[in-house]
Amino acid sequence: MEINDKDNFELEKNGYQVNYQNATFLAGTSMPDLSWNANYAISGPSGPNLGWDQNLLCQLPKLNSFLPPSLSDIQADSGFIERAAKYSCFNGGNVSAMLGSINNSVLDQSKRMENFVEDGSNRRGLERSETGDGASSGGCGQEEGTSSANAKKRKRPNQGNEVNQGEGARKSPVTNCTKDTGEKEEKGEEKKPSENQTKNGSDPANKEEYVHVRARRGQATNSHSLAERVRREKISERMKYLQDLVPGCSKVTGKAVMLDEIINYVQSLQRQVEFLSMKLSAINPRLDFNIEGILSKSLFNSNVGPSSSMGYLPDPGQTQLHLSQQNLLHAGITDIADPADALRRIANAQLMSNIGLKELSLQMSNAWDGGFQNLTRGGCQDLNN
Amino acid sequence: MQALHFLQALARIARAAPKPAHSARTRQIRHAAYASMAHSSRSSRRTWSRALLHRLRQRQQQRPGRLLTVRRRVRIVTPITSRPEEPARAETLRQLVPGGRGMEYCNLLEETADYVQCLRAQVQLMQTLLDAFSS
Repeated sequence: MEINDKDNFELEKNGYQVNYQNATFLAGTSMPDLSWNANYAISGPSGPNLGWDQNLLCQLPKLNSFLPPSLSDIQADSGFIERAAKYSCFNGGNVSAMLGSINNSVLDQSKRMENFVEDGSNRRGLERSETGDGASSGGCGQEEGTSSANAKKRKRPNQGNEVNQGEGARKSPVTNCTKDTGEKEEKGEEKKPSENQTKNGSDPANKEEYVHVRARRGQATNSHSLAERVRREKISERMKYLQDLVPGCSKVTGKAVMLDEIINYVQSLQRQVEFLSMKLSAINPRLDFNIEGILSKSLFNSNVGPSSSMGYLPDPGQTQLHLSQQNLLHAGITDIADPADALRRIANAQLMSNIGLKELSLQMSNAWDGGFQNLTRGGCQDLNN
Repeated sequence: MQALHFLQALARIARAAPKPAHSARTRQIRHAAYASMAHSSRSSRRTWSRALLHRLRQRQQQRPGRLLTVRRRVRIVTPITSRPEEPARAETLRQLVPGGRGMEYCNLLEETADYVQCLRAQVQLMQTLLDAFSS
């Protein structure tokens, strides 16, 4: 089934590209590249990790205004709404050049939404869509230059195939620029995702096929299948993200094996937490009153705002040791991908350095009073001396 | 945030009457680890963090004065809702990730990603602590 899908995707994609070029010509956009780039600029920094659903929903009201009444029935879910909106906006290009400006704005919005939807937490997705869209926008020439359009069409599938293997209908809205009916667009979107080969020789044939072929083989075009496809794309996107997270999964392909790997990894992490907690409980009695003082002290130093404020002592002499210990700890701490972790890592290092110092000082001083303040004071005095 | 919470919890455990029971302390530390994971700023909005905290609180309430803890878990969603396209291991993943039973497969994957990140961070934190204390 997937092979058939691939073939169909190629056909539809190539066919849709031609129409896209036509639409932009009609719309009278002289500089389509800039508009696309502007879209990327907009959506780039806002590459959302968690809130893309909300962004999507925010964009929806704008697009709904552009929906022609015929397509409004198809709005089964949010993913649907967005796709239908994109396609409807492209419909307007065929109607008149006046709608060109509207089309551009809607294109921008749809592009933004597309980025929000498809990228999720993947920065690479953005770049990929850029390459694909840049090529397509570059290919948006004039109607007469079909040969050049063909060449650029050929180039686009190449880029798309290299970059967009199984990525989903991320590029579909771009190539599905001109749609006469919602059905056609849906089919084109279906065929887009899994293009892995370029058939340059079949381009002129594809154009003709696009004009005539409406129904994709073996695929229903009702709202359910579309929603399912969107879901499948989301799932594949998340599987990719997980693949990056779980170490040693880059070579593994296929959802079943990946899932096994993920499960094994989660289980191993949980076991590690248990094991480490066991070890920590073994060494914990040694530290007793050490931890909170160090914690509050280090927090005070790093301006985090400690919850418990005991007697704080300024210790400029500690800063040098901070750095050296920090360096050691940084070398010891494994790389964390998340930038938020980096901050935590640094805070960790600071805390760790403090703890190490305090331990030494406590061992030296042997001031084991019950009072916490006495401990810290004694420790710091030893340090300063 | 995660580290802060964990260290505070550790301090609290250390300050408490040192129980000779090694297992009790282990349990407390593990509890603190998961709690700090759930309280991290990145995951406070997540389903799994809420479910995890709920589970921890349930266990805490059941713990005092009971040798045999009776677990009563209300199942919100049964596996019937799993679509045929879901792989067979999805159920295992649901059991692993806290709060995974009530989620669709799509959201389950996202939650798993976040959970894996937090778990990894927690493990590294504990490892660092161990190294600092033992060296």
